[in-house]
Amino acid sequence: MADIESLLRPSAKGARQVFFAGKGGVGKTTMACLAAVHAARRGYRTLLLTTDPAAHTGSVLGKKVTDQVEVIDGVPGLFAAKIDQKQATEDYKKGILDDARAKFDEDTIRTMTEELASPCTEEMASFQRFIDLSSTPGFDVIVFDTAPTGHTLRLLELPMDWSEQIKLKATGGTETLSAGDRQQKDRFDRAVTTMRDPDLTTFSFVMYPESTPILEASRASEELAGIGVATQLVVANLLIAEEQATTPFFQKRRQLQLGYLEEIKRRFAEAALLRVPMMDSDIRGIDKLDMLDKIVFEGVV
Amino acid sequence: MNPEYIFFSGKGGVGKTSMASTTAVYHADQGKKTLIVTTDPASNLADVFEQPIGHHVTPITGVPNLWAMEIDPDEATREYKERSLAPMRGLFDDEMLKVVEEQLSGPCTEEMASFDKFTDFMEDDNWDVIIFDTAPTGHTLRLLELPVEWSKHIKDSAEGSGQTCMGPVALIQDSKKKYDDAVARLRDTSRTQFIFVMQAEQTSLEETSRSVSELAAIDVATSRIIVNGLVPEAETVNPFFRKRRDMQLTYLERAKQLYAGIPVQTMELLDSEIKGVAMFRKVAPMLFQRAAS
Repeated sequence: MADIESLLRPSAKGARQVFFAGKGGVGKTTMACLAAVHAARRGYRTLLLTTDPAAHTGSVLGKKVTDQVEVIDGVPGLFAAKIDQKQATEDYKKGILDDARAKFDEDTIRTMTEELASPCTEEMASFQRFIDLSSTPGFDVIVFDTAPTGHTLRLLELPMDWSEQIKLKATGGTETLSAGDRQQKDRFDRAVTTMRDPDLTTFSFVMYPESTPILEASRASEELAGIGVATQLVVANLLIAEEQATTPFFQKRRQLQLGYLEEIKRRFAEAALLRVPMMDSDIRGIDKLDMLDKIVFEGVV
Repeated sequence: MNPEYIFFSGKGGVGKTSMASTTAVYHADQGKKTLIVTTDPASNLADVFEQPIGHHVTPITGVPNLWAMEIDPDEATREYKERSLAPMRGLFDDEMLKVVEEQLSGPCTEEMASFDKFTDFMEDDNWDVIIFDTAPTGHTLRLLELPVEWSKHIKDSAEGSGQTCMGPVALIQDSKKKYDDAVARLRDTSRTQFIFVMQAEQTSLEETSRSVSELAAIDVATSRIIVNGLVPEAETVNPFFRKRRDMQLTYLERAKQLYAGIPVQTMELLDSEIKGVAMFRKVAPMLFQRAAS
């Protein structure tokens, strides 16, 4: 098991990319901001990429995050950009459908449109934007608050690009497939190879210590392992600190959490474990992130 | 009998299974013959009822009118995939089959396969109440509505090139009537309830909004929203949790504004997990009193 610090900085092989996976509401965005601030404070040029639709990241970092890579004041070496998933997905769909309209009838277009409404399309579109932005030169650490699922990575590995797959499915293979964008496919192949390299990629799961989130994360992690992407880091979020468990009610809940923490260790035996306490309010502002950084990484209460 | 259907929707970890199980025990205790079904791959139904359940209708110990079943989503998906792929073998080369097979391994296929199993239960009128602890998404329901156009497309395609269409289409065509009936029942508010469970926080609020409008777009109404996990007022003696509760209350207010017209009720955080029949019976009055008020 690698130590947590080495998972959040570049290796001898090159820049480090850090992904945060996990269900909505477990704290992925906050953890991504934390990891990014942590890396930047240690002198690494860091790029934070977020898909957070609620401009939450902007209020966490105290600066509006746009779709351009921009510097974050107050933390030297920290840059951020936002991937608007909705916009990226719309652009992606439009590109495919505009091309298809010239070739296919209305029924086929309707079928393709509905197929493209699949959650996979959103992941594909975001991942593509991620590849575009993460190839910006000069960064030591790139943190992304969203992660592709194992299923999406398998789709990326197929000999055909996703848009071709959609066409194939909608036309029943009656239409000759276009040669496809080889260049795009090559970029995806390289991205998947990088994701498999534990010296270049840290894949992390964020969860809180309760039964269902642990089961779900562990299933998703197994799927990723199936295509050669190892989970190197797990973040246990929302832990009730001992000093906050002042009533029997919260003492009991804390005990429950400690039991599940053991379960996390058991299920993710190969991964490093980062413990993050529950805070009394939303994490907003660099000051709060720096405070959380000290609590989490230096054990300061 | 005209069974009543209750679907529970919401992301993993928000307390869906607890709310669904509590509802199931409540109805069974009212003398209604009740079935609770889950397709959640991470199902902990057996865990919360503290007995083995599995891939068949199983009586629940200590609750005379209650049965439960855990649909094995892997098994359901495997069957569904095989039925979809079979007609294509021999028509396409291996590379294409590989693409189709991988596409049929996605979350949508799993959901469709699960829905396919749901519809089996929705055709079974031997129950008073059937509770589903997982609900189909708007995307799945829209895919199920496509067959009208798809069957035409299959016909054209077959006449044109002699090849059949791909993916779940062939299968959906066979099951079209079954799905149409199921979707019609889902829209019938006199017998179907769609309940969303969420936490009082930003991401959960956003996700719920998205799902509610997605369902509304295909004419499925949301009957109720449960905001789960509120820090109880009595536990706010500690300023830390006072502040947390206040934060939760602001999200609760936003939910009430956002979902005007849909009843929004709350469930407080308990000192232990909602697990075991005794616990469900303790929680049921909290859930149903608040639903009534």
